[in-house]
Amino acid sequence: MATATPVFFQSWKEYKNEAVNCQSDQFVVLLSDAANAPSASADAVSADVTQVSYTNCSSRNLTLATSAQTTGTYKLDFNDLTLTASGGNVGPFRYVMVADSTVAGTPLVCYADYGSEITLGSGESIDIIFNANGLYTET
Amino acid sequence: MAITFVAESSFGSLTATTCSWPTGHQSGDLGILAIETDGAGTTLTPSGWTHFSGSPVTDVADANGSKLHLLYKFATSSSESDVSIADSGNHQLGGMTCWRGVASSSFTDGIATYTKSTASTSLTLPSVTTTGANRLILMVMSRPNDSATAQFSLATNSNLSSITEISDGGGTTGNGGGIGLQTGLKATAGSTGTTSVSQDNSITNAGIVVALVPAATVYTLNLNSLSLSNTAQQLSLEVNRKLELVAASLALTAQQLTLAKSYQLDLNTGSLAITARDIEFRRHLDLNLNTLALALTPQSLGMRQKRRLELALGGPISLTPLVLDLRRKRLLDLNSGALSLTPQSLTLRRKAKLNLNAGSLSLTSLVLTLTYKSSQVYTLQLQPISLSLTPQQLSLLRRRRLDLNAATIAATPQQLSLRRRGRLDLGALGASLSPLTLSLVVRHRLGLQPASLGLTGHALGLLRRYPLVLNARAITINAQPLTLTQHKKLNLESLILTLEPQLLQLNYSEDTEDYVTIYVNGQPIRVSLVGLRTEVPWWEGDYRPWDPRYVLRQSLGRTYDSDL
Repeated sequence: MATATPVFFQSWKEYKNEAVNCQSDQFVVLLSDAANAPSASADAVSADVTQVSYTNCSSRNLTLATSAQTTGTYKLDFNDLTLTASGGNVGPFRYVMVADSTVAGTPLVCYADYGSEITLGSGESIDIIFNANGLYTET
Repeated sequence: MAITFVAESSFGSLTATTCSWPTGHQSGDLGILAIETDGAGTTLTPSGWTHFSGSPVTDVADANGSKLHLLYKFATSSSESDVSIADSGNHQLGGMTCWRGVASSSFTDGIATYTKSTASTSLTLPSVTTTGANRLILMVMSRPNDSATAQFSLATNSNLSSITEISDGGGTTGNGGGIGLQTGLKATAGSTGTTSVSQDNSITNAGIVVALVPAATVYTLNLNSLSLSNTAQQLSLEVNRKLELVAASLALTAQQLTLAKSYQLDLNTGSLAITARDIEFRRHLDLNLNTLALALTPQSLGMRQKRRLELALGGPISLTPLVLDLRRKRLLDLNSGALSLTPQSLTLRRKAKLNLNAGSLSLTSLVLTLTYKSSQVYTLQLQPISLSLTPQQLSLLRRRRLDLNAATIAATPQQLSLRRRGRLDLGALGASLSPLTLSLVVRHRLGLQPASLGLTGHALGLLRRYPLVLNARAITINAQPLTLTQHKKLNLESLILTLEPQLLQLNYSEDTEDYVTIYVNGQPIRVSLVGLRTEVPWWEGDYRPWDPRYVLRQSLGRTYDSDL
């Protein structure tokens, strides 16, 4: 079990104000290996990062749990997601990214470092658990 | 995830009995129950347990034979109940093994049974074909012979790795029998091939080979929550609002920080940096800054009516606005271990008060002005342990008072002017006052009372009726010109007095014939006048060179060349 504090892609702060509707957009998970670590400052959209093959991977779509504010604090939260390999391996990968696939270019939101490379064998899976406070809060 | 062996338990009885779950079992663990009865025994199926496919297996179906039951059940807790084993007719013996990491469904990947009805000392267990990696191959063998000792050798199979004997036991209860359990790992999918096992006695055997599927590995990535902060471009506090900022460190970098009517700003932090371009306090505002270290660097710090700024720190204060302007009834208290106050311009107007109380104080404004209006009194109190006062110009106008009370004072303005009733009090153990020009005009008083005093202005002039009182243990006056003009009184009260002007000029009014009097402690004292030239227009009275007691009187129109 790994725990990671995600890192925002810097460009997300602009995308979220200019192009994104967190309430209705489809967010997805992207994976990259250790040799293709994402850059918070240099990467902005999915094409900027080298991803693994998703041929044997289950759906990477996130489902929205919360996109609302309470007493002035906005929270964006997703339901936990399990990625499962079937019919072959997925990976190796180390970085798990969240991106908005609705907006053109699929802008990157943030990435988390699993800490080491893992490969999902067929039947194996990874549970991506979102914090009770959501992916992020905004004040 | 690899399948691991947890523990085992065993039993043996002629009658119905129980078998406990192995110690340490957990929910999700797979329990495998192996029971051996004689070949004529009733098939046993404990409640809640399920036979593996092909179970039971009988080598010889009579009392001389052996029947092997192999059943399974997944634990749903860590405290599973004992298993009731019925009476099969003769004996029933065996045990339960507990396995962790087994897939919860479709957990077998091939099962084969084995019977050998002709006695021999060897067994050839059948192969199973696996469809995935890392299958754990269970090889369970029973025997009918009446022996409690181990019988089976370690299995050999080149397709399996990590072949391990889990158990090899038996009993002599009834017609006796025994069970052996060994495991091996089939790392890749495919046929295991047959497995060879030898035994101590030539007997018949039954057996079951099962390939267990490991549970799929589930990785978990817990994501901590992030926060996005939007820095306000404008921060406004409206009427009667209060803003409290309590933080270990605080950086406040507004372009403009303004507090208007009745607003209060409390900043309590370990360190504080306020770099607003302008800080302005308006009516009745308080700004309390209580931090260990404070850097307050607005370009302009303005305090208007009844505002109060208190800076009380144990650490250093650096207050460096370009302009520091205190107007009507404003109070600026700076209490710090070390204080650096370096505005280019410092102005105190009507009843404004500036208190600087610090361990050390550096006040280096280019212009320091205390302004008079009406009958208001302005006060600048400087009371540090050490003081460096270096404005280019220091002016005290009507009725202003400058009190400098420090252990040591170094005041070096280029120009020091006291005009109508301005008062400058220096109360220090040691003071050095060295303006380029010191002018005292009309009824101003300059009282200098340090333990030692060095007055080294380039020019020291006392004009009409101003008294200059120097009270120190040692006084050195070495202004280049020292000029006393009309109705001036010079009181020098010191144990040691050195008067070293390059020019001593005593000028008097022709009309009044007033004179200048120099008193030294009210008594004559030894005076050394060492200068290039001493010009005294007229001299009369008692004069006793090098006599410590004398009264020097001088009147207009006479010149005296002295070799004092």
